[in-house]
Amino acid sequence: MLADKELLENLLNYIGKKLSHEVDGLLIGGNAMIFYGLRGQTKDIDLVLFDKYDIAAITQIIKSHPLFKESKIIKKLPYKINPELLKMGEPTVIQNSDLPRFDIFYKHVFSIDTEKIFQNCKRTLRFDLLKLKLVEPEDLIFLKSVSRRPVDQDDIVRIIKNLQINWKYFLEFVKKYHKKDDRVIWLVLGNLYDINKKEELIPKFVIEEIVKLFGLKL
Amino acid sequence: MFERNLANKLKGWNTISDISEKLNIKKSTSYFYIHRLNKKGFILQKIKKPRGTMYLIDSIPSFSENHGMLKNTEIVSSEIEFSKNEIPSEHRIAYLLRKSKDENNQRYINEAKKLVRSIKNWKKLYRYLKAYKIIEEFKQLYIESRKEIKKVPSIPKRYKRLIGV
Repeated sequence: MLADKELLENLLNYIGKKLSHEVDGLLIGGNAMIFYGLRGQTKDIDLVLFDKYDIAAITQIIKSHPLFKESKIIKKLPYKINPELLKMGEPTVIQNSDLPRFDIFYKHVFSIDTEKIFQNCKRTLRFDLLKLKLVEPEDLIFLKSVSRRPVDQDDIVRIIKNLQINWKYFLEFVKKYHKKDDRVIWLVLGNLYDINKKEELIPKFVIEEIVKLFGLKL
Repeated sequence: MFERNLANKLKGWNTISDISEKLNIKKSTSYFYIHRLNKKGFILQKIKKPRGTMYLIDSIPSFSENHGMLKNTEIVSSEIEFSKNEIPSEHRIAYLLRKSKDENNQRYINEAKKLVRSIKNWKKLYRYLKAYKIIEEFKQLYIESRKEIKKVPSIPKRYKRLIGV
């Protein structure tokens, strides 16, 4: 079953009302796209939390939900992703065959440090005591372009076509991250290059600047 | 996606005549388009001017009408908060007291004082006080506001004992 906006809001409200302390988190992936109005439904609910106790509390609450009583906690991802990316950011997956899946990450999303992304967010969604920051469109493109799934490429195209994107901010973020981990930026470059081959959506100077980081020329 | 494409074309401040000029349509149709955009949340702000109402349109929709944690206060928050349901005053009091404790700012306490009269659900309030860990601060606030404000609601016996007033 896919989750639409109403189901998503109801689930998050349920979690917020059961919490006994305020929890800060980050909303990424398909859920963020739903709140931007770019998608109708999503398969999974991706959350990033910054405290291990919060993850324990939220998994317990989800398990207490009448719909998720028979769900199982799995440590393996149900879809394929580059094995290098799985070193740090493996999520806790709460899955039931018919229902939308919960993917809960701790600080890292597939080896990408999300603390800077969390600080850059301007919009917050509040569900009682659950306070989720909505990832900015530029950061959403960055996160989506790391995983090379065809679905994510479609999402990136949709974001670029419909929202105003600050490419200068995106480049700055990429340059800073390049100093930390250049493998991730290589993946981002590959994905953006593929998208631009089909349709020229990304400004040329963005790809040229990223290529320069690796000492290459277009 | 019709509304989103419209919002992309009409980004920024517009009057009705601006819209009809940009899209090459009648004025009556542009009123209809404004209605559709408003329904989907693409209109962020309206200002009435002598030459006609101005509408601020953005491609990112505002998520809900009842938004803003600090809606009733004068304090400007650094980030925009949205919530589907209206945030109860019990929650606001607890949140403001927590902020005053963290930032050491008297203004938050003054704002919380204004909301004391609107407390209705003491069970809810006690839950938020426990969640934000500010039972002592609320005790002080309640004692002060009883002296300054008329008709402050009295605490039920159970919560009197729990809060220690």
